[in-house]
Amino acid sequence: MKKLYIIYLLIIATLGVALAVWMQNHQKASHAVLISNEAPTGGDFTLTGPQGVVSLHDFSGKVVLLYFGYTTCPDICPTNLGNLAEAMHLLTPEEQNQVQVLMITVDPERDTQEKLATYLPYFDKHFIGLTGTPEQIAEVARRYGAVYQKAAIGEGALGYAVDHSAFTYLINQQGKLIQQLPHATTGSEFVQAIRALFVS
Amino acid sequence: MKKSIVATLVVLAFNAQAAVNDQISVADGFVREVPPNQTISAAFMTLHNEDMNDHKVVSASSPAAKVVELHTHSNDNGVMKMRQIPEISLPAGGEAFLKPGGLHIMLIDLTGPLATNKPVPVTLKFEDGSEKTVSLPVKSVNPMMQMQH
Repeated sequence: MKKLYIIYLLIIATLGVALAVWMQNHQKASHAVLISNEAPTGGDFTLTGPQGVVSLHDFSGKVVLLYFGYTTCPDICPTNLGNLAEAMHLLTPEEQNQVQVLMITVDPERDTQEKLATYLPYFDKHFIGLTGTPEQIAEVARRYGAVYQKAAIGEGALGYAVDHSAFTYLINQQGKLIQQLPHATTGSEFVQAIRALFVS
Repeated sequence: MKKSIVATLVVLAFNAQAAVNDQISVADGFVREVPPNQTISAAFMTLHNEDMNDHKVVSASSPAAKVVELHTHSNDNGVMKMRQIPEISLPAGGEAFLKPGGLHIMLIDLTGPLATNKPVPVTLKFEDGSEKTVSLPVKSVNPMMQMQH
């Protein structure tokens, strides 16, 4: 009888440990919902550019820097796009021809193609802004691990802002996602990452 | 001579009252130039509180924008979040850094295009109601545009 009691205790203890381990893993998984720890798959996509349909594979042979942002983004997007423009400026003309910067809007409601077509060239005349249906954009964002969400900002006059991940996705000449570069990556850091793909 | 004495007295009188605006100095300020048709921009600067007491900026205004708000950013696990805030704290003897990606003064509904050769006046209001107006240069994030200047 006493033996049986010990076995019961052992079973309960084992279950307890198993539960604790499971909960810990589960908690990790729920944190990962926001920014996945797994490498995003990326891949080809087709959206609308200033001259109609634009696909990632149109830029096959070039290094693509992909950014998710929006034109009424007050600070974060202009900072990143300014740094990307600086990177372009630091490259030789020959290298510039092998690089394409794309921004996909996370605010398709307000960002018309016309707005994007005046916004992006301000930073660099070769930058292209892309839009699509909210569903199309969400699908591409999911594959690249980009997240965004409309946010009311106080009683402000802005209406709403869009909270968004501010990574720049570095895509190689074969359309493969190589690296996510964080917000505030400098122009010369972008150049370094781009040139690493030229030699490989 | 008489005039300068009067001026000195006036300065002394103001110092005796120790209005907050006299205790705060502003450096490295600029307003970001924006793409065409863009109706919002932001002002950045470093505020130094030379006083032995904490102070704060409670609001700001500018003829360049219909609405001016105090904002901050937070980086939440890679997601940049911008929020309006009621005040910017200026710790005693310390500094507040308003810079891209962090605290900033939002200029909403610009009243006209910003030009790099036309400084923008921005008025800061402190908790005691005193004000300080600074004239901020417009700075481009576009390296090509900067080259031209």
